[in-house]
Amino acid sequence: MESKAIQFLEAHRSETASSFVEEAARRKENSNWLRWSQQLAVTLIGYMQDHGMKRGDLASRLGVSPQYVSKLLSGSENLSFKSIANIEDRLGITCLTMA
Amino acid sequence: MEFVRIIDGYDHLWAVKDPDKEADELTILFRNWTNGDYLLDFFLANFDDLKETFRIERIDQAVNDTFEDADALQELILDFPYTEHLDNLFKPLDVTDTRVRELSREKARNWDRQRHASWLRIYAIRLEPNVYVVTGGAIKLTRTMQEREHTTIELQKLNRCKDYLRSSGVFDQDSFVELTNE
Repeated sequence: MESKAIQFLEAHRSETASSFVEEAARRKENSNWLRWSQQLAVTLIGYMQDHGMKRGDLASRLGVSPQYVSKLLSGSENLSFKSIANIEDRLGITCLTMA
Repeated sequence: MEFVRIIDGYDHLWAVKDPDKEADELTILFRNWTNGDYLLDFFLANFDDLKETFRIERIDQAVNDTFEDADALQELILDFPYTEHLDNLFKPLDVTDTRVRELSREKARNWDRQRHASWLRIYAIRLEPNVYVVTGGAIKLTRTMQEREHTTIELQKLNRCKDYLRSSGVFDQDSFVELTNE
């Protein structure tokens, strides 16, 4: 039998179910490439700090929109090798290193 | 106030769901903690605390550590609710919450983090043994929650939820008696 506390929570349950488990499972399932994307984001954030740059400055340097920079910085963008090579060429840095 | 069950079929872990927000408090936390764009803004705004408390001057390191820590904490959160040991993940927020564990305010973090203490916190109200409602969480870079606005807001959310549950008569007298006799 459910406790009084559980009964209360059930009675006041939101119509919107939690998506935590679903989103966590997606992060876990995609962790191999997400780690690469996060590494790229961390590298770009370090580059911005070293050069005193804001998102708009980085966008100009890369020739992309600030919105696209936000996507890059999110660490959840699935980029092509071509896109990564373009970023490396534009900034003169190495974003990804092979083991 | 509305609530969501985190894992279907399990009663241990719940979260507050604000009708005005798209997702529940636990889901929002992990969306933020795995988003470098969000973390960049946060650590820029709290850079002095990062330096003073953790002696970290690199924002890229702070973001990287948060990514790692969020992964570890997510594993813990997903692991414990399937067990009877959620009480091992959460600990009382302060000394007032250790005296009486009736609707006590609790915090969870990755307690075994290497290199530096974890700054990620999940805040929850403990309704009864092994049953928790997450009210929110924070990247806590100061010694006390009262020192910064974003952590003060989380403290207020904890207190608001506790008051709501208490005024709604959720407090389980039987559980309380068992605890005080331990």
